[in-house]
Amino acid sequence: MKTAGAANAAQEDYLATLVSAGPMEIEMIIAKYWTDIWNYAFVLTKKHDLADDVAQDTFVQAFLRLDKFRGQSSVKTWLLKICHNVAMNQLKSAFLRKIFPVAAVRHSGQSASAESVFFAKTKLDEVWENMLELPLKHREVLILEIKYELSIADIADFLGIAEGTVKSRLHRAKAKMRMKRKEEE
Amino acid sequence: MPVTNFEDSLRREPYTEPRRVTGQQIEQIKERVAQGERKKFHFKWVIPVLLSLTVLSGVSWFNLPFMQLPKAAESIKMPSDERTLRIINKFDPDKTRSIIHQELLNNREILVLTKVIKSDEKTTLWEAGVLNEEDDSLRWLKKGEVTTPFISREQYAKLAEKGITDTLTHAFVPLRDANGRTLVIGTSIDPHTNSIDITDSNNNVYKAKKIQTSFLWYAFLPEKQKSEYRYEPSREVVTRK
Repeated sequence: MKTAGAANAAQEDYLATLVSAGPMEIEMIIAKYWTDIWNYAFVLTKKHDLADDVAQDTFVQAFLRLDKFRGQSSVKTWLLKICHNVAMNQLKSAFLRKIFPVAAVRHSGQSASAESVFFAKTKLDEVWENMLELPLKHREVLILEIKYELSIADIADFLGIAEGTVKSRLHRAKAKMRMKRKEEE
Repeated sequence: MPVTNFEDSLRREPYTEPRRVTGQQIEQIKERVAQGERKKFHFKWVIPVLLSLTVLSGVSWFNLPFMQLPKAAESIKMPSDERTLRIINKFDPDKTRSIIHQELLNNREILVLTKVIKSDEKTTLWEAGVLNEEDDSLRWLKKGEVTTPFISREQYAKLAEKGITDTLTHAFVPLRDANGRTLVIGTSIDPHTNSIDITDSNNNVYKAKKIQTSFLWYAFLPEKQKSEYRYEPSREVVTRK
């Protein structure tokens, strides 16, 4: 564990000194953080294909702005923040696309059949299913605290809201989750 | 499962099989990163190029006599970053490097600044050299280098607090421009530093250009004792050479 921790720290220090990423760094960072970023994008968008697009956009933006990463937060938190911004923009434009139907550009390049094959093989956890039914503002704070282990202060800073607001959203989110779980049982 | 213990499930993956990235997605990200850089570069030059074209077409419209410019001496053609990298790798194949900057020194030489990440030594190596035209082909001659260690977050915070002067490194490189001035290269890790003020013993100040999106800066200085120069970071953006 100690070795893994030291390797992580060295990697983050290394990223803090980079100003642009070459192919090797790109593959290393994507391999390490893809699942975390995809999961977070999925929590925000609730759609597989949109989560794919958001995760891809997150990494593209991160690599283009690598010179802005100076190690003040962990790489994961930095990527999550970019993911949050990308997802919010995607959701806004998805809303606009619904109102003004326009052809959407698809970056992921994944065919619908490839996706359906993947998701046919795998099953969504029922607790996650419950969590995805919560409003965005509740599921976001919940997942940032529980899955990504951010502190209240970090979540407040991350979302640009007051700590009190984070606490009350968390409280409500957890209460709703308990209620849903009770109903399920 | 107990009613209140939903947290454990949320700590795990949403699906029984985690959503892994595909090779195709990685390639698309790489391509888009490369395109993004090209787009930035493209946009940066569109306005000045369009302005220049407008002025040139205006001048030719009025058929002014100074349009009859003498033919410039034939100069070495600036290669693309990719071509420069191929040439350098032919002469020094053991490093994975990227091109940071290229500029014409004179009719036969191009100054090239590169970056080499040495993960095993936890350092970044910054090289300065020239592409030299000989017998219609380009040769790479490395002239000098500076090394910066990877720094930890704590070290970075301390340095930012203490002041940025200590974070400057520099090295003289045996390479001269067309005016006979010597190249000096260096690094500054402070992202707010846009240029370096170099002052000689007579209080003449020379501006060193920091390369955008890099820690590297460089300048050509008149021949003097190296110890006569003082180096100070500056936030001023240098737009001219």
